[in-house]
Amino acid sequence: MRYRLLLGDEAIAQAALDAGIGGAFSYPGTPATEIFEYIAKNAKASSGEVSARWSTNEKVAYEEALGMSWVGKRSLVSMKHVGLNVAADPFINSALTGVNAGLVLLVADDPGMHSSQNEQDSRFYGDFAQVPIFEPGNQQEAYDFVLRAFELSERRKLPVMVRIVTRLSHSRGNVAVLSEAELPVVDQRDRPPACSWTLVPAIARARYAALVQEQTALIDDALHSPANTLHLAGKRGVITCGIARNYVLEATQGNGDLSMLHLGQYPVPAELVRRLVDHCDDILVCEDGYPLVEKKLVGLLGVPAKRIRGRLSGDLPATGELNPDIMAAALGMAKEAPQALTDLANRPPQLCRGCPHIDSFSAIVQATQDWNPMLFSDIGCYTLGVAPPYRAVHTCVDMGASISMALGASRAGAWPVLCTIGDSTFAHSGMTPLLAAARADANMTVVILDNATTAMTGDQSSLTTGPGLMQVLHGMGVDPEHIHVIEPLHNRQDENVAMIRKAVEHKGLSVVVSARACVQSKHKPTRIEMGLDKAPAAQA
Amino acid sequence: MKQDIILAGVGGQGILTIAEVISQVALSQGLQVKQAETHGMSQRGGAVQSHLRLSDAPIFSDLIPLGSADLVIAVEPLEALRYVQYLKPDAMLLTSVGAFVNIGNYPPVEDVLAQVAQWPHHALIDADRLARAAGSGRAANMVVLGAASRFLKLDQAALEQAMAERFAAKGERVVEVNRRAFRFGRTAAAAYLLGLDKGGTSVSVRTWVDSLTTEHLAQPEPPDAPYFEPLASGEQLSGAEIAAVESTLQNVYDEGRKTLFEHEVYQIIQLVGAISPPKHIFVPKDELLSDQALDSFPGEKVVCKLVATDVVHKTDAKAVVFAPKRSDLVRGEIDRLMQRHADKDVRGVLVVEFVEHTHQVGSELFVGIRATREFGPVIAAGLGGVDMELLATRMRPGQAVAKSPAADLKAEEFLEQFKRTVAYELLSGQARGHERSVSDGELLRCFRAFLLLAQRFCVDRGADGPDLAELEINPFAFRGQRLVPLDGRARTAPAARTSAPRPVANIAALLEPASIAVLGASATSMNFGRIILNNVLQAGYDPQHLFAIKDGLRELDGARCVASLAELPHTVDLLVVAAGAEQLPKIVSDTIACGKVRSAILVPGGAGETEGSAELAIAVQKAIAQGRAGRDDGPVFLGPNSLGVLSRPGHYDTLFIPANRLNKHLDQPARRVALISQSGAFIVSRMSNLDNLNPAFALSIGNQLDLTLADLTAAVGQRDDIDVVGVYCEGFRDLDGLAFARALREVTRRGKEVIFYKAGRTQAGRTAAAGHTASVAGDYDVALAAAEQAGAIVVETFKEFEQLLELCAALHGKSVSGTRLGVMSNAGFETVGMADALVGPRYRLELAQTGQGTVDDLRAILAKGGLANLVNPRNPLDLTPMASESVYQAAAQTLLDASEVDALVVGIVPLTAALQTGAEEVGNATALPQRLGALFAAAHKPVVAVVDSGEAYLPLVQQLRSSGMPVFRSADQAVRSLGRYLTYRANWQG
Repeated sequence: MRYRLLLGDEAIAQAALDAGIGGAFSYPGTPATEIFEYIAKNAKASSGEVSARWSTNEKVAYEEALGMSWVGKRSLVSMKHVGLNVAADPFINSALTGVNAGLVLLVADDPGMHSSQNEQDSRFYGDFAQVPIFEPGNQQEAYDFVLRAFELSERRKLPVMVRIVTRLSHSRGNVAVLSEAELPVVDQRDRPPACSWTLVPAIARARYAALVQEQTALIDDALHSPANTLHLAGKRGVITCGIARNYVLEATQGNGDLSMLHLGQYPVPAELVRRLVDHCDDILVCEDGYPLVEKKLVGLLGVPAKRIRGRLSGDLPATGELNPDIMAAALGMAKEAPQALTDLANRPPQLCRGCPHIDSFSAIVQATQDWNPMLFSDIGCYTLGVAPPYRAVHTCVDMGASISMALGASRAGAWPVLCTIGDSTFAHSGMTPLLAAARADANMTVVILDNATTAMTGDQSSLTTGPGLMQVLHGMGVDPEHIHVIEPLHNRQDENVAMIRKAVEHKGLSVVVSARACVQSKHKPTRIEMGLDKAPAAQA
Repeated sequence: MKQDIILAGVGGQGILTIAEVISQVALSQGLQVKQAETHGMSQRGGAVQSHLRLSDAPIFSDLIPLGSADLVIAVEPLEALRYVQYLKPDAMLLTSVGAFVNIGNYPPVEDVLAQVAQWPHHALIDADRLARAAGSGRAANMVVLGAASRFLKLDQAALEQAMAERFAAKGERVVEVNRRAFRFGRTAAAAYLLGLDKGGTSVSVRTWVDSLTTEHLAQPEPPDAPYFEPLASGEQLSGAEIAAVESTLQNVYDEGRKTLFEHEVYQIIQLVGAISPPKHIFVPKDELLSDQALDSFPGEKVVCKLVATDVVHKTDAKAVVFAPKRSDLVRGEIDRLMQRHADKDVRGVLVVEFVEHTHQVGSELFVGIRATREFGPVIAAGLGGVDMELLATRMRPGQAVAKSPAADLKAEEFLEQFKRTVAYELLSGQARGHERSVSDGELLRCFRAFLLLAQRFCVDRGADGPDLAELEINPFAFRGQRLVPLDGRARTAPAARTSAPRPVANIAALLEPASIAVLGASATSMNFGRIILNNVLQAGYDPQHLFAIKDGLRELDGARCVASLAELPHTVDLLVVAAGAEQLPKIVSDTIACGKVRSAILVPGGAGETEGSAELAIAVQKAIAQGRAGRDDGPVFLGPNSLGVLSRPGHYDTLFIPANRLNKHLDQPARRVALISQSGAFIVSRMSNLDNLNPAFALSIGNQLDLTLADLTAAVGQRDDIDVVGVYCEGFRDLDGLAFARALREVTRRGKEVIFYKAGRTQAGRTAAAGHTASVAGDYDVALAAAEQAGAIVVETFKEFEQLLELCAALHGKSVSGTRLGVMSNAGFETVGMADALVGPRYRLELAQTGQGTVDDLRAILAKGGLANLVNPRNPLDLTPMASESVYQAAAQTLLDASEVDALVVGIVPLTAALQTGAEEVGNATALPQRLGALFAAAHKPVVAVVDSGEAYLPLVQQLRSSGMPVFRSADQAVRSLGRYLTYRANWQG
C-alpha cells in the first residue's frame, strides 16, 4: 500500500485499473472527463492491455462497455450526469440482461451546476434501474468503492453505479492505493449462455422478475456494507449521504453529540434508518443532490412524532451544492466571518482571446442583422455566445438539439433558421437530425463550428473534423453545392458574411463549416487537416 | 499543523499548477491534503479558485468554511479580493498586481491594489514583470508560488524541488527559468514586507521593489530597504497599470478591431487613475438596459451614444441623443438610434450620465496623444469641442493648440507650453467674461497621465502587444474645476521602429577625409563622376590621397587609378560613388565587404525618391544591413541621391556643379556656417543667392537610406568650427525627427543657432478617419513645434531662411541683451513701416525710448548737418533725403552707443543726390558702405542695413555686404527677420 495524491476522478480511474479492467469507455463531460483521461494516459492503455478510446457518445460508450463485459472482461464506463440521459436506454436494460464480467457505471453529478444544464441526481436512475449504487464521500472511498463495485457487480451479475459529485471529482486528497502484489486476482470469464441477453419479451419478463427478486439480497448487501455506518449518541440525528458527511464533520468538529447514519451504498438499508429514527427526535437528512433518502424517509405522510429536516423541509437549501457553512447554519453552529466584498466587478467566463467562435459569431450576426433570425445552438464553449457582445445563441438544451430544433422550426415555416454546433457535439448527436434535414432538404442553415477538438472539456479528440467531417456531410446527402467552408478570421469577415448570407438565402438545407483550430489546442492541425486546403494529389 | 489556503485567479493563469506543487510537497511531508478546484465552464477567462487544505490530522471537507482560511494566494488583484469572506482576521493576502482586464468595468488598478493594501497582512508582487526578468512571462505563477513559499508551513527546498520536477520534462532551460522565477518571487515578497516595515506606502515600496536588479532578486534575502520618503505619485506608470492598459488593448486587438470604443477609452484613462469618466453603461445590441441600471445614473437626463465600428464622428453622424431618465423613453431612443444606423456595424449603445455644460468657445478642452512616424509619441492640448479644428487652423501656430513630442517631455513643461495658448487664457479665466473652469493641478494630472500613456504605448512595443496610434478626449467639460470627459476616441496601429544603429563616428571621416576614392568617373567623357573628380581636385585636395576606381588606367586627371575597391592600397576615409543607381546594391555590398572604406557618398538618384524605385531603395538598405550584420564599424553611407558634399575643412568638394555655374569662392576663407539639406539644389540656390555665405560645409543628404538628418546635424553641430547650421528638411526617416530634435537641443545648448525649414505642409496623415489629434498636431505642425522647442529658429519661407541665415552668420559674434530697436532711415515711409512691423508672429520688438543724452547728441549732429529744423532728434530717426553720409554715420553711431538701444536698423534709400550710391561711387572711402562697414565691424550690437531699390543699386548692396553686414532689400522684412532673430537670441540664449 502506498499513498498518492489523487483527484476523486483519478482515484476512481486508478481503482478501475487496479481492478483489472479490459477497457474504459466515455464521452468527455465535466466533471467526469478526467477519469477516462487518467486511464488513457496509463501505460496499460498505451500498451493496448486496456482499451481507451473516446466513444461517439455516452450511449455508445455504455453499449461498448456492455459488449466487453459480455465477452468476459471488466469494463468501466464513465460520464457526467446528463450523459446518463443519453445512455439511459442501455443502462436500464442492462439491469435486465445483467453483466458477465464486472461493469461499473461511474456517473459524476454536478450539484450547483458548475458546468452543466441541470443538477439532476443520478441516484434516482440507479434506484429506477434497481441496481446497486455506491456513493463515495472522499478520495479514499472513491478508490475503495470502485474495487468493491467490481466485486459486487460480478457477485450479483449486475451493473453497479458509482455516483460522485463535482466537488469530489475535482478535489485532490491522499489515497492509499494497493501495490501490485495486493491487487485482486480477476478470473477470466466465459461468455454468458446464448440468448440470455436477448431481451425479447419472453426472456425479458423472466429477467425482470429475477431482478426484482434480487432486491432483498442487494438491501442485505448494503445493510452489512462498511460503506454504511451508524453511530448512536444524542437525540439529534443526522443522515449523511456521500460527501455530505464531510461538511457535517467540518461544521461540528466532533462537537454537538450527534447520532449519525452515513450512507455510502444503496439500496437504502431500511433497518439502519429505522434504528436511527427510533433513537432520535430530530433528524437532518443531508444529501448533496436531490432529496432521495429524505423523500423515502418522509414518504407522503411523514414520520409521526419525529422532526425530519432537509431540503424538503427547507432547513437546507432546496437547490445547489452543499458546503460546511450551510451545514453549520442548519446545525446552529455558524461562525463569524468577514463580509464578502459585494461591489466587486463580476468576471463571467468568456471566449478566449483569438477564439475562432468570436469570428464565427460576428460573421453570423452581421450576415443576419437585416432579418430576425432564429439562432439555435448547442453545448460547447460556443454556448458562451449567448453573452454580449455576440448574443448569437438563442437556445442550448442538450447535445445535438440545435439541429433538431432548427429542423422543427423550419418545418413550422420559420425563416431564417440557423443553428451552430461544434464538431464534436455534431458527432455525438448532430448526425441523426442532420440526416433527416438532408432528406427533407429543410430550409435551414447548419453552421458547424469545426475547431478540431472537444474544447470545453479540455482538448479531447473529435471524431468529425476537417476532411472527415466533409465525408460525413457528403455521405449524408447534403447537396455539395450548398456545403460551404469558411475560415473564421477577422480579416475574412466580409467574405464570411457573404457566404453565410448566401447559405441562408438558399431555399433548402445549407451547411457552413467554419473551420479554424481552437487556440488552446495542443495539437495544431494543418490547413489540410482542417479541410481549408486540399491535400496535394497523390503521384500516379 | 494546519493551513487553509485559497488560491485565486482567472482561468488560464495557472493557479492549479501552484496548488498541485504545494499539494505534492505536503504529501511528501506526510501531511493530509485536500485541494478542490473549480474549473470546467470557467476554464478560460472566468474567475477560478481552489481551496487547498493542509493538516497533520484528517481533513473532512474539501471546501474551506467561511472565516477559516490562513492565506490567499492570488495571481490577479481583483480576484484576490473576491474571497475575503473566507479569511481569518490575521490571514495573509498575497497577490500579483497584474490586472487581467477582460471585463468592461474593471476599476482603476491602483484602487484595487489600494483595497488589497488595506488588509492588515498583505503582500503585492509584480509577478508578470518578475517572470519576464526570470526569462519567461509564462512563469508568473511560479513567481507567485515563490512569494507564497514565505507564508507556507512547508519546507522551502522541497517546494523548489517539486517545482523543478514538475518542469523537468520540458528541459533544463525551462526548469532554470522557473527556478529563477520562484526565487525572484520569494525575494520580492520579502522585499515588499521589509519596505512596509520601513514605513513605505504600498506604492512607494512597489516602486522600490520594481527597481531591484535581477542580481538583488536572485539573492535569498532582499537588500536593505531605504527609509521611504512619501513618493510623488504618478511619476511613472506602475507595472500594474501598464499591464492593465496592455490587456485592454490586447482585447481590442483580439476582437480584430483597430478602433477602441468610447467606453474602452474611458477604461484606459480610468485604469491609470487619471480621470473619472462620467457614469456610463455599455448596452450591447439586442440587450435591454435594466431599470435598476438606469436608476443608478445621477441627474434627470442621460445621453445615448451609438457604438459602431464604422461611426467615428458621432455628433456629425447624428449618433448621439439625449433622453429624460425614464426607461421607456431611453429604450425608445436606443431603438431609434439603432434603426437610424441599421446600415452600420453597430455593437450597441453607450448610455452616459448627462453632464451640464455649454459648447461656448473656451468651455471645452481637448487633449490627445498619438504615435507619429517621425517624432514618436506626441501630445496635443487645446480648445476642445466641434470648432477646435477651425480654431486650430485659423489661429497662429501654438495659439489654439499646444503640441509637442512626448518622448522626453515632462508634464510640467507641457503645462507651461499650454499656458501660452488662448485655450489656457480662456480656461484659467484670464480672458474677459470667463471664469476659471479648471485648476492647474487638474490639468497637470491629466497631462501627466496622457504623457505617461504616450511614452509607454504610442511607441513600437514589439511583441508586447498592439501599439496605441492615437488616444484623445474631445471634449473634456468641467465640473468643479475637475475634468469630465464627454467623448473619447482611440485606435491602434503599429508604431514606427527606430532603424538599426549606424557607426556614426565615421561621419568625421566623411567631413574631413584624409583620403578619397571616386568610383564611376569616365575616362572618355565629362560624366558626373569625372566632374566630381575634378571638383575635388580644384577644391585643393591633395592628388596624392585621391584615387579613381578605374580598371585599365594608371591615372585619371592626376588621380591614381586602382582596378577595384579591393585593390585600394589602404583604407580610404571617403568613397564617392557616381555609378548608375541600379549598381548601388552591389557597390554597397562590395564597399562593406572590402573593409577599406570609412564613409561613402552615394550620388545617384532614382533610389527611393521616385515612383517605382522603392525596390531599389530596399535593396540598398538590405545590402547595408546584411553587410553590417553583427558589426558596429564599417562604412557609413550618405545618400543616395546626394548632390554631394562641400567641405572646406576637408578641402574637398563633390557637388557636381561646374565652377562656371556657381562661384564657391574657394579662394576666400570659409565662414562658420553649415548647410544640411535633403535637396542639393536648395543648397546651391542659397549659395548662389547669398554670394558671400561661403559655408564651411554644404551637405546634400539625399534619401537618408543610411545616414540621417539627425546623424549629420549632431555631427556637424558639435564641431568647434561651426556656429550656425541651416537645415532644409522634406521628411524624416522613421523616428529620426525625434533624434533630430534631441540633436538640435544639444547643438543649441552649445550656443549655436540652427535655422530650420520644413517642407511638406500638405495635410499628410489627415484623413477623414483620423482623429482630432492628427488634424491639429499633424506631422508638419509637430516637426515645427519640436524644432522650435529644441531651440531652432523655424522659418516658413525660403526668403526668411536666407535672411535668418545671413543674420545668424553675420551677427553670431554680437551680443544681444534685449529687443529694443533703434531705427533710422532717410525716408519717412521706412521709419513708419519699420515701427509698424515691430510685433509679428513669433517675435516682439520694442522701439527703443531715446534717453535725454541720446536726444541731445542727436540734436547736435542734426544741427551740424543743417537738419535741425527738419528732423526730430528721436528714435525712429527720419533723417530725410537731405542727410549726408557724415550725418548718417554720426547718427548711427549715437544710436548704437545709446544704452537704451539693443540693435540698429539703418535704412538707406539711395535715390538721393546727398549720398554716394551710384555704381562708380560706392567704393569711395567716404561712401556709406565703408563708413557703415567700419561701424559694423566695431559694434558689439547687431546692425543691419536696408537698401530698398532697384537693380541699379546692386553694387551698393554688394559693397555693403562685403563688409560682413547683413543687408535687406525691404525695411519691413528687415524688421521682421531681425525681430525673429533678436527675440530668439534674447529668449533662448538670454
